[in-house]
Amino acid sequence: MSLQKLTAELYKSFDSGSHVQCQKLLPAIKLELIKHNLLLPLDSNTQTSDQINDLRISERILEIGALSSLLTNNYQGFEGYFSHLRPFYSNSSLHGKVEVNTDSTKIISLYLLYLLSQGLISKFHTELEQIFNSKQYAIEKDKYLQFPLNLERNLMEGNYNKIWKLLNADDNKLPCEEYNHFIETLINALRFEIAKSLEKGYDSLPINNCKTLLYLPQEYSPAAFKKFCEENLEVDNWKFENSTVFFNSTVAEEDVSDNSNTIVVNVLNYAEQIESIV
Amino acid sequence: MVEVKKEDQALTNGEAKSSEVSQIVKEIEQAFTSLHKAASNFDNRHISKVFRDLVPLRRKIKDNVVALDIAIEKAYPPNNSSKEILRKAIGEPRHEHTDDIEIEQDEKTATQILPEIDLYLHLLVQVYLLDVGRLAELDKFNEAVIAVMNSYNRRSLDFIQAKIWFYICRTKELKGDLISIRPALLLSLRTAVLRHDNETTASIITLLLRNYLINHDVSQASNLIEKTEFPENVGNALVARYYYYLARINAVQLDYSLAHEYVTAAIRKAPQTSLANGFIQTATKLNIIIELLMGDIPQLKVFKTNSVNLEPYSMVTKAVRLGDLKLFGQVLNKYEKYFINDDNFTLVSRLRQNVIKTGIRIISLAYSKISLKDICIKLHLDSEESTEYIVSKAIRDGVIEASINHEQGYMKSKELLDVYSTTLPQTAFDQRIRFCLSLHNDSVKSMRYPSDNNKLDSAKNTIDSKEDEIDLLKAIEEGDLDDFMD
Repeated sequence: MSLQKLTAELYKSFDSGSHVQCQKLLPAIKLELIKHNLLLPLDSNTQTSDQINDLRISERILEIGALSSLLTNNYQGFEGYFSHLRPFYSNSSLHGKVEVNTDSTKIISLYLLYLLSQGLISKFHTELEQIFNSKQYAIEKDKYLQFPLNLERNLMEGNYNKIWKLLNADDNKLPCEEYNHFIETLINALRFEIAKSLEKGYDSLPINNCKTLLYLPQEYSPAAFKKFCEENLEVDNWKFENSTVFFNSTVAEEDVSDNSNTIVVNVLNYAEQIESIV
Repeated sequence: MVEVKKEDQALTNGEAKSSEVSQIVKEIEQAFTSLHKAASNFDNRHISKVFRDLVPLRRKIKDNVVALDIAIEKAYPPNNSSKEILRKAIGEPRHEHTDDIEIEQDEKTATQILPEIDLYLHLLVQVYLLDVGRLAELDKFNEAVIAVMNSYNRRSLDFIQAKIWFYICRTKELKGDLISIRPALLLSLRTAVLRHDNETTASIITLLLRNYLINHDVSQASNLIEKTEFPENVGNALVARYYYYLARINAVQLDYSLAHEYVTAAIRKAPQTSLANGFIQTATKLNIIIELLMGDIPQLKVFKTNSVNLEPYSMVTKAVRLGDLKLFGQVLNKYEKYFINDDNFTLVSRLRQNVIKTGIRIISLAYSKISLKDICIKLHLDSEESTEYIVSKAIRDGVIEASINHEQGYMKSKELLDVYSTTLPQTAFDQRIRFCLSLHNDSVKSMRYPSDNNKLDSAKNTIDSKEDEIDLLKAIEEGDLDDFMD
C-alpha cells in the first residue's frame, strides 16, 4: 500500500477511536516514512514549503502513534514515539512560534504526566528545564502544561489534598480526555505516598480515619481495607487490631558489635596512612 | 633583528608607534622561543608560560595589529599557504608599515615552520578577530584553523589546541549558532581521546557541556558525562569548570548532595585571582541555591565577602530561613528576571517546599505540642486537611522528629535525640580525616622532581634551568585564566 492510502486509513481509524487498528497500521507507515526520508526533520528536508507540509503530516502520524499507544496501555511505545517527536518539536521551521494549548504541548504534558506516574522525578525535571527555558512555550498560559506542573509541586510539598481535588475534578475540567488514562495510576501513586507518610507520622490511627486519609470509600470493611493495603501499599509493618492501625516504627537497633568493628577498621586505616607519611 | 628606518620626515608619533610595534613583534618572538623549548623538551610548562603572557599581549595586538602581521610575515617561509590565509584574515593595514621595517628571514624558519608556532599564530589571529568583534570573518577563519589542527599530531600541541577549540566555540556562541559546531567537536573529542591528548579532551568535554547547557539540554549533557571519562592531570581551570557543569546537571536531576559536593569542589579549584571572579560568582550563586535545596542555610559570610550584588539570593535565603511563604512569593516575583538571567529560576522555584518545611521545623522546635489548625494559620496554608498531609510528609522526609495525633488534631515533637549517642559524629570525623589524607596523598603525587639529566649538566646550566624553572612555576601558579568568561 502506498503512504497516502495508509495515512488515510490511519486517520480514519484514529477518528473512529479504534486504537488497536492504529497500532497495527503504524509499523508499515513508519517504514514508508523512512523510505521517503520523512521520519526526521533535518536541514536538508525542511527547505521548501512542500517538504515542510510533508513533515507536518509525518508529525501528525507520529502524534497519533503516541496517543494510540498511550490509550492501548503501550507505554514503551508512547515513550518511543515521543522521542521521535522531539526533533520535530524543536525544529524551528516546523515550530517557530509561541505555542499555547496546541497538540504538541498536549503530548509534552502527557509525557510529563507519564514520568510523574512512573515516579521518574529527575527525568521530569530534566524535561521541565528544557521546556521552561524554551521561548516556544508559555507555561503560565498553557492549560496542558500547567496540569503536570501543579501536580508535581503539590506532590513535593505533600499537599495531597489539592492533588486529590485536581485528579477528581469533573471530567470536563481536565484539559483533555487523555489525562483520564493516567488518573488511576496517579491516584495509586498518591495513596502509596500517603501511606508512606502515615507510617512515619503517626503511632496509631483508627481505621476509619485511615480510610479518609487514604481517600478510600468508607464502605470498605476492615478486612477489605486490610487486604487493599497489603496488596497495593507495601505495608509490611502495619498491624491491624481492633479497628485501629498501629505503625510499627521502631527500627531495629544498630548492632553495637558491628559499630565497634568499623571503628577498628577505620583506626587501623588511619594508622597505616600516617605511617606512610612519617 | 628589526631595524627601524629613520627618515627625516617621520613624525615622532609614527616613530613611537613603530618602536612599539617592534616591541610587540619581539614579544611574539619571545613566545616562539618558549614554544621551541616546549617542542624540543616535550615540556608543556613552557606553553603555560606563553599563555600567561597572552593576556597583556592580546591587548597590545588589538591596538597594533601590524605587529602581528609582521610576525606572521617573518615566521612563515615565503610560499606557505597558511601565511596567506592568516594575513587575509587580519585584513586591512598590511602595506602601510611593512616598508618601515626590514624583514630578515630566520634561517630556521626559512625551510619549515614549527607546528607549535604555526598554531600559536593562528590562535593570535583568532583572539584578535574576536577582540575587534569581526565574528563572521572569524567564523570562516575557524574552518581553516580546524583543518590545520587536523593536519598535525604532536603531543606538544595539546595545550594550544585546547585553547583554539575554546575560541572556536566562543565564536559560535556569540553568533548564537550552537548546534552546527557539535559534530566537529564530537569528532575531535574522539581524536583527542584516542591520542591520549588530555588537555584537549578535557577542554572539549567542558565546551560540549557548556554548549548543551546553554540550550538547556540536560539529558544530552548527562549522557555525555556518562559516556566519557574526564582525564586526570589537566589544568585546574578546566577541572573547575567541569565540576561546575556537573553540579548544575546534578542539581537539575535532584541529586543535591552530589551537586553540592561538585560545586564546592569547583569553587575550591577555581583560581583565586580577579580574573576568575565571574566564574566564582556564578558558582557561588549555584551553591547558595543548592544549599537551600538541601535544607541548609548558607552562612552570612557568603553574601558579605562577595563583591557582587547577591541581593536576590540573600532575599531568597531570608525567606527560606524565616519559613515565610508570602515573602518567598514576593521575592520570586520581584527578582524573576534576575533568576532567569542566571538560569537559576527553575531551581529557585523548587524552593517553595523548603520554605514550608523550614516553617514546620521552626514550629516544631518552638512548640512541643501544637494543634494542626495553628500550624495552618501560621504558615498560611490552605486548609487543615492539607496541613496534616504536609506535616506528615515533613516527618517522613526527616525534616522534623514528631508524631501526629489524628483524633485530637495536634502534632507532638519528640524529645531531641542526643547526637553524641549515635554514630553521626564518628562518620563526620571519619570523612574529614579521609579528606585530609587524600589531600596529602594528592599533593605528594603532584610534586615534581628534576629529571636525572639535570644532574649531569654543568653548573651553569643548572642555574639557567633553575631560573627557568622558577619562571615556569610562576606561570603555573597563576594558571591560564584569561578564558574565564562564564
